[in-house]
Amino acid sequence: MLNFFLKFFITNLLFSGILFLLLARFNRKQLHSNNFLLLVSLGLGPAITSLLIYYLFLLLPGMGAGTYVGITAALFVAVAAANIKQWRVLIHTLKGWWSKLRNTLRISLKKEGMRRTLMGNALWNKLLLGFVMLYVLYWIYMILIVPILGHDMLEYTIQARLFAWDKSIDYALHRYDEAASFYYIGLHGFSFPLLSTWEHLLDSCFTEGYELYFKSLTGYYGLLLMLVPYYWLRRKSVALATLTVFMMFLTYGFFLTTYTFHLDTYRIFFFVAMLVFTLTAVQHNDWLSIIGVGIFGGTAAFAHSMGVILAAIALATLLVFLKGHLIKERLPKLVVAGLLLLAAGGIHYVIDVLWGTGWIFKEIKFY
Amino acid sequence: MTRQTKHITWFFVSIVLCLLILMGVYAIIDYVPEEIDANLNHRGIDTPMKLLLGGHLGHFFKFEFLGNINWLIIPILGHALWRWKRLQQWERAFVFMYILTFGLIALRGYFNYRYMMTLLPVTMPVVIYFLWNMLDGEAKFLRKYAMTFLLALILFNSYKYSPFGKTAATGETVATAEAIASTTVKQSQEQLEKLEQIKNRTIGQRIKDKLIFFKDAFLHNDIPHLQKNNERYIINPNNIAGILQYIDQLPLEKGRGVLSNNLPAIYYYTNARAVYYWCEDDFYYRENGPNFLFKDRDYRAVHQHIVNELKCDYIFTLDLYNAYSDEFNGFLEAHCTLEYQNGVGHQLFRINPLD
Repeated sequence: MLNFFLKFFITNLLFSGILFLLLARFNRKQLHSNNFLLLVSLGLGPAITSLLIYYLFLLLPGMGAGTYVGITAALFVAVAAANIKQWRVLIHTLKGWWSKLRNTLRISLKKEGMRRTLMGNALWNKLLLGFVMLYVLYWIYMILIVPILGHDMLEYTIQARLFAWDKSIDYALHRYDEAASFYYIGLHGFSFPLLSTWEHLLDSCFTEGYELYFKSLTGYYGLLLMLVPYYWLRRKSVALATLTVFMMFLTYGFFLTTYTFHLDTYRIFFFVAMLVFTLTAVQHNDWLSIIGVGIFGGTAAFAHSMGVILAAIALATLLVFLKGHLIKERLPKLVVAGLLLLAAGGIHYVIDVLWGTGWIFKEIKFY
Repeated sequence: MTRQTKHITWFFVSIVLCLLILMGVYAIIDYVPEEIDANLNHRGIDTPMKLLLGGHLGHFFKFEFLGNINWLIIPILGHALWRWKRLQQWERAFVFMYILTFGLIALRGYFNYRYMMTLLPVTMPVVIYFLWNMLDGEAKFLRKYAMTFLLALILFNSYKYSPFGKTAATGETVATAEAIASTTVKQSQEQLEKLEQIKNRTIGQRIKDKLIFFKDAFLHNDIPHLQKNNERYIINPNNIAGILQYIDQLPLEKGRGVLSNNLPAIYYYTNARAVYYWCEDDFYYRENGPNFLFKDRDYRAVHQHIVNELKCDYIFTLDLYNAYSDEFNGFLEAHCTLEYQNGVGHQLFRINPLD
């Protein structure tokens, strides 16, 4: 279990925090709230980790597990060092979160008075905090108790295990492993299975982790998915934001999605973040939003085939609605967003079409 | 009529209208036709109207999974399109992107609620936000009633489609351990007795068990349910573990294996050699990609192909999946013997020798 918490801390918190530094660097004009940037960064750490493993397996195949872990960690350390000034922003933002949390725990509902309590924020903050705490407990219970049994999740895990054994990613018309007699029928990007591979790589450096980390991703991204609308609606009303979280969670399909191990919360999170950055790009016409569209569009694409088409829709939206001259202003921004999209995972599909399964030329069945 | 009364009247008219629409949609999506296609019925798209509402427009009307308030975004979108010129640029971008995304899901993702879920974290907050915003000024006092109404709708819907709601509606009770166990073909008396012992434990014993489980998990990194030889897990007839352990211990000759019908668990939990097959598509997968199994072959030829070419002596399947293909189901009945079945329908068939 300690093994799990360590992996979770490194990948989801530490790496995400470092990526926040990178986003904060481009937020000089403070057009974006640091709270929002930190929130979306919390989803970026695992995705960029899997992207690095992808490139390392592609470019430097067949090395030891420790080498991949070491290079990945070194790259993150380099980013952290290169953005040393932004640490202050991160610490300031985290202090803000901590102080809000402390206030929520401190405020006595009795002192607030019944009427003020119902209309005010104290009750709703406490309700949300209670909900999040229960959610986390339930999430840990689920990853401990429930084994991986779903069809797709098993496919991802088996393919991830093969990646970890081979320590390489080869493109072929058919992804078939003779030794395991296993045929990987998935045509989506490798972002999600590579997180299980990442867990295997860490396991070979430490101890057996029973894929608890991989299983934890569903619930983790489910929580982030609820917190993104919460963040936006909180500006209007804390009660409204909290009620929205409850209504989302109480929707049977969403509830199922958060506790059935699968990649849906993972891929949807990147889509939602991409959508938000697309809209802020149209609103502010700023470079950070363009970078956000590129990175989150790429990670959405690398997570799932549908993400590629959704990223294309985001680019089309930018093309139509961005302000400024088409050639001088809009096109350079689109090119930057498009290149980032490729680098953040879209490249997989280009390679897959040219040297792999053919992807889009095959019939992609969305079962 | 005062302004406040006007607001209240409109609020009630809206609620009644909303309930009428919901009743109409429920009647359509819950309708079960006499002739059932197992796959389409399972996905809730087995009539043209269900295909339209629960399929292509599923993001709004597939109440079972997506909840029953998403459709309220339709008038909001209509309103936005109506006053398009007065919208801010980012609002136009939102409507544009939303409609295109929805179009993609309606065209390509209508088969599975998971794809329809893509827009849920956008649609639901937008609906709730608009309703909140609409009830502003003098109508502000109606907000709490409107939110309570939405919450009640969602709760009712989730209950209706949850296992509890479904059980209450059909009058069927949840299968007991004994009933499930009685369906198993291969389960020793000893296993059943152990199961009975587990079932009869007191609440105190159960809590103690859970605490030991968490102590082991947290302090010793010992996650018992993931260990292949965890007895408690294997003997539970609701779990797949028993049949997987049985497969792992099959007396298979070297190079021979199991044809697995859409059940990749065999690769993950056992060391058995397996050939992946999916009866609905009639594809088995090898190094050259997907190949037909039943197409252009009679049962005798299929039998020879499985045994001689694919080198499989057993078929691992789920009874629910068997219904997806009459040919496959017929082959199981004609040429195989059921050797193991657990309480949730996982089956292991031994392929009989040809006469």
